[in-house]
Amino acid sequence: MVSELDDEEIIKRVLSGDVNVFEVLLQRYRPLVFGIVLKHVPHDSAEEVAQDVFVRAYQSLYGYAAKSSFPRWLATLAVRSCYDFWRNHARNRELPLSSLTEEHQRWLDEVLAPQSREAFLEHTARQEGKEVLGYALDRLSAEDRMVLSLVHLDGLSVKEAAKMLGWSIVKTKVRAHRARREMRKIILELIGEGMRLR
Amino acid sequence: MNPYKEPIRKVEEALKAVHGREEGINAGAAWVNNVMREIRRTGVQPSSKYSDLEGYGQLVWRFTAATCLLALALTVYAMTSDLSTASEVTRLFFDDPLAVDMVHSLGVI
Repeated sequence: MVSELDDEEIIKRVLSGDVNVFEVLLQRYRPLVFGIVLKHVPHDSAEEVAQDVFVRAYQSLYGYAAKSSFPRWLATLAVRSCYDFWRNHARNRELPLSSLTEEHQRWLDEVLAPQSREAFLEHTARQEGKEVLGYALDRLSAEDRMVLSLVHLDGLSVKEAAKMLGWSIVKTKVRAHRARREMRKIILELIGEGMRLR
Repeated sequence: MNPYKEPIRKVEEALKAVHGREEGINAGAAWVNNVMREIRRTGVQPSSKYSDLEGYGQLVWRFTAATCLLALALTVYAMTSDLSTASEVTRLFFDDPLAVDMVHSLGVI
């Protein structure tokens, strides 16, 4: 059965001309790629970016050379595709950023109020939370956005994030620090705005 | 003490939890077929920017320490030896006064 072959064997077969076998890798790693992509790009762009990841992976198979595990290599491609998405997005953005509504301010107020762990978790599941996060991240540059997401939100080490983004460790560390400072400024503005409205 | 430190920490923690929530998507057979169609259309390329340039940035950074050390060594050498523009010009003048005169008239030194 082709689906039981290991990654290396499948890659060898694809490189020798059996293109259809690539579908096994596609099915095998679809959850991994979507897991990364959905965290970093808007829901309605996820399918397009995930497709881009697999097409790039296929086109770069000769360069893969089994230096690292295939899923790790694919994860790196997924992160870089998300980064490219935001770089293109920043270049093509014409509309000004939308502002937060009263619902979003209420969400922030409730986060700041003393609450139980269950209430906190229930809170973070709400759509407003996602929108507030999107609003804050949208105000960062593509570089800051990606490094902040990887290091501070996903919890990757600086070394891992550097490898995924193809940056030096020093650059990643400096960028991550700067991005977090920017994010704190944005949060402070949001909190301040809420206080002014009250 | 910054009075906003604790509220900022709370919001950061909430946004981190929001980011960490798993989201699902229904990318089924149609999506897989689309990707495979695209793949058959494009073909494998023997090299790509992801393979060839992988680690290029790191390679450049790896040489920065060596470059800095070399620059430092040259600076120390220039400072400790009697190498200076004035002494070089004087030496040139005594070696070949005619050439120096010509170069001087051209405004090079």
